[in-house]
This record gives sequence, C-alpha cells and structure tokens, in this order.
Amino acid sequence: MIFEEVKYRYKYCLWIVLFGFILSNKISFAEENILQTRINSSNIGDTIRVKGGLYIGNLIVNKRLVLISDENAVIRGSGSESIITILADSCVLQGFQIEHSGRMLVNEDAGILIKSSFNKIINNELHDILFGIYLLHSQHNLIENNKIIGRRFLDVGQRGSGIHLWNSHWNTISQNEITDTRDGMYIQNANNTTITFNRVYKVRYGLHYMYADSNYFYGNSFTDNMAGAAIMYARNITFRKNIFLRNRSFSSFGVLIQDCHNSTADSNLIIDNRIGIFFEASTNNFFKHNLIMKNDAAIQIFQNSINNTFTENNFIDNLSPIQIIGKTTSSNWNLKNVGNYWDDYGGYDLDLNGTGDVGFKIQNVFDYLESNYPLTRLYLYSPAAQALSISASIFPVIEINKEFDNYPLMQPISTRSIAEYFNLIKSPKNNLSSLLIIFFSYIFFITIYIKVSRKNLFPTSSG
Amino acid sequence: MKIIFEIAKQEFVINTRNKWTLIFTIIFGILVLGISYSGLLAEGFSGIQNFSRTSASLLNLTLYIIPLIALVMGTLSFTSDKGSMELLFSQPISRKQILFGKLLGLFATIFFSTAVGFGSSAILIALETDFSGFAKYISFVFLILLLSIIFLILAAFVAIVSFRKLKAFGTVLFIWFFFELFYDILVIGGTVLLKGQTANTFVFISLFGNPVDLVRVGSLIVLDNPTIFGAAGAQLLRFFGGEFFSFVILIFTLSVWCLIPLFIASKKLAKQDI
Amino acid sequence: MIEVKNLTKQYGKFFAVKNISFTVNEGEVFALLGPNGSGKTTTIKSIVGLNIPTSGKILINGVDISSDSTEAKKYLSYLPQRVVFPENLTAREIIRFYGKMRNISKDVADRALEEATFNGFSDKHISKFSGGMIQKLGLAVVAMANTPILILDEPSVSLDPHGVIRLREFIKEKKSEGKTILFSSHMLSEVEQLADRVAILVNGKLIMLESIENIKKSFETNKTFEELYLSLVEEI
Repeated sequence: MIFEEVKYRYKYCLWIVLFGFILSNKISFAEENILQTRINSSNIGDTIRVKGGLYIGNLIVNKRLVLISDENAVIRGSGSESIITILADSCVLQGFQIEHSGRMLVNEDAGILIKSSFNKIINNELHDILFGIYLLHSQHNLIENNKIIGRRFLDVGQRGSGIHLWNSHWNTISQNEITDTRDGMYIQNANNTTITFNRVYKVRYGLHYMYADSNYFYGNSFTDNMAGAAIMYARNITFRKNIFLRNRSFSSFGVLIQDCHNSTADSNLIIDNRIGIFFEASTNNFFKHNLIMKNDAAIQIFQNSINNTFTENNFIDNLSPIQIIGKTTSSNWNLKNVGNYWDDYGGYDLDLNGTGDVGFKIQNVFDYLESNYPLTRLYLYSPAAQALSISASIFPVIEINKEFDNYPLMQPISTRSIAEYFNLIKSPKNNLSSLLIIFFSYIFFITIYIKVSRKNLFPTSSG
Repeated sequence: MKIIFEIAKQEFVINTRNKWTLIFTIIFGILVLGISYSGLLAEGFSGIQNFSRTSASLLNLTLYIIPLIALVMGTLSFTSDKGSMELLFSQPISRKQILFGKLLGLFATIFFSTAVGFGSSAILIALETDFSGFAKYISFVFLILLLSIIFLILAAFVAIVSFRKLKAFGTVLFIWFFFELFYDILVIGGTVLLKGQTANTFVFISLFGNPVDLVRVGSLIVLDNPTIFGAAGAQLLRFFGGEFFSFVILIFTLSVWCLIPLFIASKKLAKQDI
Repeated sequence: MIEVKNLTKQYGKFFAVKNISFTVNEGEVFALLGPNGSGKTTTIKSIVGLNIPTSGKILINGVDISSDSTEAKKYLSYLPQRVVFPENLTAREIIRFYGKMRNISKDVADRALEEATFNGFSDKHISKFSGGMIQKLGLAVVAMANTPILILDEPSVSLDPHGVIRLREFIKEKKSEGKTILFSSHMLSEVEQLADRVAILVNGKLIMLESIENIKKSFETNKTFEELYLSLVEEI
C-alpha cells in the first residue's frame, strides 16, 4: 500500500514540476516534498519544528517523531486518502492546520489517521476533511484541544465523524471542538475512554456510541445537534456534568440509552431537547442530580427498560414529564426515601422533612394517551386535553400505570454551579430593567387606550 | 367604503368607551404581560429557546379568551337595541355596508384592546430576545387576531339568524364550548378508536373543522416548531407537504373560515327583518 | 310619493299584513290607525325597508324599495317607535354620524343640533339624557336629513305631555314645509288633529281609507270619530 502511495506521489510531483517550469520559477512546489523528506531523513525520536507556510501533500509518519509548528503551518492534503497517517507509537503532532482530505467515505479518509499507540495530537485545527481524527486499533492516545470542522456543504449522511474510535482502548479525548461532521464522536469497541470538556455542536449525533464499556464523560457539551448522545450496547458508563442542549428534530433526544446497563448519569444538564432522555431495553442505570428542563418530553421510556433509578433529579418545565411506550416500567423514582423534584407536584410537606407527604403521579391521562397514540399529541395543551386530565384526577376511574414518585422533593436540587460552568446564568440586572420596561409600556398602552376611547368620534373643527 | 369606515368608527368608539371593554383590556394586558415576563426572565437561564410551558399558557389563555370575547362582543353588537338598529338600517346605506362596518369596528376594538397586552409584551420581547423570537411572536399575534375575526363573524352570523338576544347568547356559548372542548374530545376519542392511516387522515382532516385547533397547532408550530408534536408533527408536515405548504394551507383554511360564514351571514342579513 | 301595492307579510302561517294597497300623495299627512298588533308597524317597516315583504311592491318616489333600497331610502327618513341611541356617544357624535350616512356635512349637522336646543347637553353622553331629550335628538336626526318623506312609527307612544306637544308642532311644521308625512298611531285625537287621510288597519287588513273630512262627514249624524273607529274594530 505504501509502495502504491509513493508511486502515486511520484507521478503527482512530476506534473507539479512540469507546471512549475512552465508558469514561473518563483513559485516553488518543492515544499511538498520537504516535510515528508524531513520525516524520512530524521532519526527516531527527533523533534521536527515546522515553520509557517503551506505544505502540500499527504504525510506518513512511520517512526517515533515530534512534529511541532509554532506558526500554525498548513498541511494541505492531496485530496485523496488521509492527510496525516501515524504508524509509529509515541508520536506528537502539535499546532498544525490540516486540510483537504480525500472524499471516499468507504475508505474513511481522515485528517489524521492513527494506527499506533501513545500518541499525542494537540492544538491542531482540521477543516475540509471527511473524518477528523481516526483511531484504528490504537490505545492510550491523547487527543487534546483540536478543532475539527467538517464539510458543511455535504449532506450529513455523506460526512464522516469528527473523532472516530474503532477497536481502540484507554484513549483520552479532551477539550476538542467539533462541528459540521456526521457524528461528533463515534466510539465503537472502545473501552475505558476518557472524554472530557469537548464541545460538539451542529452535527448529527454529538456522541455515537456502540459496544464500548467503562467510559467516562465529564464536562462535555452537546448542543444544537440532531441528537445529543446515543449510547448503545454499553456497560458501566459514567456521565458527569455534561450538558445536552437544544437537540431538536422530530425524533430527537438529549441522551439516548439503548441496551445500556449499569451506567451512572450524575449532575448533567439536559435542557431544551425534543426528548430529554430516551430509554430502550436498558437496565440498572442510575440517574442522580440531573437537571431535566424545558424538554418537549422529559423521558421517553420503553416498557422493556427495567430497574432504572432516578433520585434527586430536577424535572422542570417539561411539556410532558414522561412518555411510556407500553403499559408501565419498573423504574425506581426514589432511592432510600428520596425522590425527585417535579415542578408539577402540588402536594405539601407537613412534617418538613423535605419530601412531599403524598406521592406524585408522574403521568396524567393525556400523557398516557399521547405516548400510546402519538397523533393525539396534536391536542397538546388543548382545553380538551386539560379537561381530560383534570377529570381523571378527580375521578380516578382508570388506573393508567404505577409510575409514582412516593417521596417527591419539595425544593429543586441546586444545579447552579454546573449552569454557571456552561455560561447559562443570565445576568440578574435584566430583571429590574425589564420590570420597569413592562410597567411603563403597560401604562403607556393603557393611556393610549383611554385617550383614544375618550376622543370625539368626529373631531370638532367648528365648536 | 367611506360609509363602512364611518360605521366601523362609530362601532369602535361605542365599544372602546364601554367599561367592560376597558376592564377586559386591563386584565388581559396584565395576564399577557405577566405570562411573557415570567416566561422570558424568571427561569434565570439564557441561550434556551423561549418556548416553554409559559408560552403554552399564553397560548391557552388567548385561545380561551379571544374567541369568547369576540363572540360576546359580536353578539352584543348585532343584537343591540332595536331602536338604534332600526334607525341605522333605515339610512340610505346597504346592509352589507352595515355588516362590514360593524365587523370592522368590532375587530378594531379587539385589536386595540388586546394591543395593550400584546403590544407591551412585544416591546419586552423585542428588547429581550433576538429578531427571530420577535418575528415568531408577531406571527402568533397575527394568528390570534385572525381567530378573533372568525369568531366575530360567527357571532354576527348567529345574531343575525337567531335575532333574539337570549337565543343568540345561548347559541354563541354553545359554539364556544363546542370548539374549545367537545370537538377536540370527540377527535381524541376517534383517534384512539381508529387505526393506522385512517386515524392519520381522520385527525388531520378534522383539524380543519375547528378554527381553534388550526390556530393552536399553527401557533405551536410558529412559536416553537413542529417538533413539539413529535412523530405526529412529522406526519402532519408530510401529510400537508412540508412546513411552507402547511402554513399556506393553514392561512387558506382560516380565510375560508372567515369568508364562508361572512358570505352566508351577509346573504341572511339581506333577507332578515330588522 | 309612497305607493304600497298588495303588501303581504307572513310569519309562518300568521299574516301580519294581508294584501294592503294605498298611496300617500305628495305633501299630505297620512296616518295609519289601528289597535296594537293590527299591522301598522309591519307596514311601516316594510315601507322603510326594514322588513322584507312576503309579496307585494312598495315604491318610494317611484323607486322600488326591494330592488334598490339604498336609492329609495334616500327619499325618506324614519323615526322608530322607541328611539334608542348608544349610551356612551354624545348628541353631537350621533347627529354627525347620521349626517355622514347621508353625506351631510358636519356644519349642517351641528346646525341641526343647535336648532334642537340641548342647552349645553350637546357634548354630553346619551346616558345623561332624559326621555324627552332623546326624542328631541331623534326628531333632530330626522329633520336634518331633509328628505321629502318623513315616516314616524307611533311617535307619541311613551312620551310625556310636553313631548306630545313637541311632536305635534314638529309634524305641523314639516307639513308646512311641504313634506310628505306618514305616521302610525293608535291615538284617535292625534290622528284627528294632524292627518289629512287615514288608513285604518285591523288584524292586518286595510278596512278603511278615507280623508278625515269624508269620514267625519259620512258619520256626522250620530257618531263621533271614536265611536266609528270602535264599531269598525269590533265588526271585524
């Protein structure tokens, strides 16, 4: 394969040289060779410092090297296959701009293709690439602080992933920014990955996740994607302090959990998604201290999801609290007599122990109807829907299901520190000024109203 | 045209000077403002879409109140004292002019008295959100005003046909209950009973039978987006051929809801004894 | 000026007016006389274009009211039985409004208001008006129109004695101006004093149409007008 590549490169160079002669002696395309030549002529363990400028052509790093550009050198790929391929262990690639990869989805043409271990990919910016950083059978790599911008003009299905892990374990992905790719991070058969402080926006799935166990997510943000995170066929995943914001389309969700077991979600913000959390065939998962707010439906859960536990979560301002596909689930809505905060809960706490004295029935009749007959959701917030719910709560003739939180919290759990981290807190000064604006505009309009209504029907010009 | 305008002007002045209209204006204003204020600011989070249950409550409130007010105002105006009706109808003007003039005046009244709430909220929203939030709000108000026209015309129609004040009020109240509640319950029931494609067609077609539903669905789509209905929203858009076409169909149907009762009412009025 | 030909108005099976014909000539005062429910109001409303007749034809100054009501109504102004005005408008607003309906300028309307002498109430809301003042305003609206035909439906009903006198003066004055006047009444004295000709209606039928003099003459011997009327009404 390498032989083929060299042959191809040779042919390419010949053309370039010919053109160079014909056009001008000043434009030198010889740079293209320089970088690969420097790599080829360097010794194992050398550090190559690359000056700023444009370097054309794909690179193959086949020995342990440190490649650093303090001046953000541009490496422009040939437009076919991956731009930089790292074959040796313990390489460092830092400070480059990498652009113009191949466009073959089947060949998985990437900006950086890693087939070795213990490498560090730091502070690079990748754009005009199909896949961003591709890890193939590679362990213990560090991918940090890179910016990956996909090809926006392509259909989302025609793009590649931002960071793609396949059969790679013990990697760390941190502080990267990914946008305009198909999936932000695609992780398959990759255990013990640490994913922290990445920002993924405007992609299909922020995180797409298959057959990978014992991974740790912390401080990532997934915003404006078609879906936040899709976790499938996984065990022992830990999520902490991530945000899933504004992931909206017809069948979109903040977090999708399918066939996922024994995982923990703690202190995440799941806000303004079509469906906050989606569960299918997932068991023994544990949700604590999450803020689930302003989603069209907070939770959509299939009957086959068993023994998931929710405690000390805030459910605030969701249009529907829960949609159960099927009859009922065996979810635990409280743990050791501590439930969740539901803003719909209208009960009381006479013994002042912080939990309501009567249980909270999570689903009302209309929620039940719309989960089982999705078309009825068109009547969401219609007087008819409200009348149904009210009458069913006064005359509970039909037992819908047993989704009860017996220890609903009276006060929400504070999630302010996480919200502050993600810059979600509004400056408070707006409140007073808005109040004044409201007050004066109201008075203004009322005054106009009264003035106009008192005015003569026909203005008097002659007494 | 001039005559229509003069009648509208008189109708407008009569209604705006009415103390009940003033009370309605003040209360409606406070409610709308309160809702938009709490919806915009009370959450304490930024960068989040403004649609929420507060917007839903705003929608609900207006969907309850606006048709009711339009029906009551319309009925009162078209069954007003015989003496003044007779004097007006004996003037050398056509009955169509009177009908259009009164409707225009009534609409101006509703427009003007809801403007206190909608207008001051608009100022708030313009200051607190971006352009798209404001545009959404404006189109929402537009839909609500369209709904008020429909119910004014329905009230005029009922008042003309039933002629007696009490009968007209009874009918109008029934119309309100029917469109706000019974119709939807029937459709929800039908949806649960029917299956598959039949249920789809049933629901989507039945939307057209109720202007309140049309405006509710339209407003939710405008204020939020069709995703709020989940799978049903996707099916709805596919059924009507996309977002743009859905909106065109919505406006078209609402216009039909205006024009047909208006046409019948004007035909009826031409043959009615005053 | 007013031609009523075979006017019939039917409510279901009930005939409010059955096959009535009469003509009101230019410059005369014509009275429709009859007990309550005899069809006076129905007839007048049909003439004014408020009621749609079941059959028959009504011409106002030669114009058919059913085919061109807007044109026909230009020749007449009408005062309903009970005049009511919107309570929260002022007298000036009302008179100017009705002026606009007939293309009458503001100044003319204001002059009509002054002639009616409201003593400072011109710009007060109608809610502050007494019954007499409302009647005055009604007459002012009718007078302002300055149409060749005036039609008054039971104008003296529910008026105090001052009002009745004012009404009588009004009709006399308009007659002297050469207007054609049609009014209905169940009060014989009124009819006797004002009308040139009388049509007596009972149960929707026209039973007598004569000038006051003729009626008086033919029954001079033994009966007063009142006795005649009562006997006629009882006969039917």
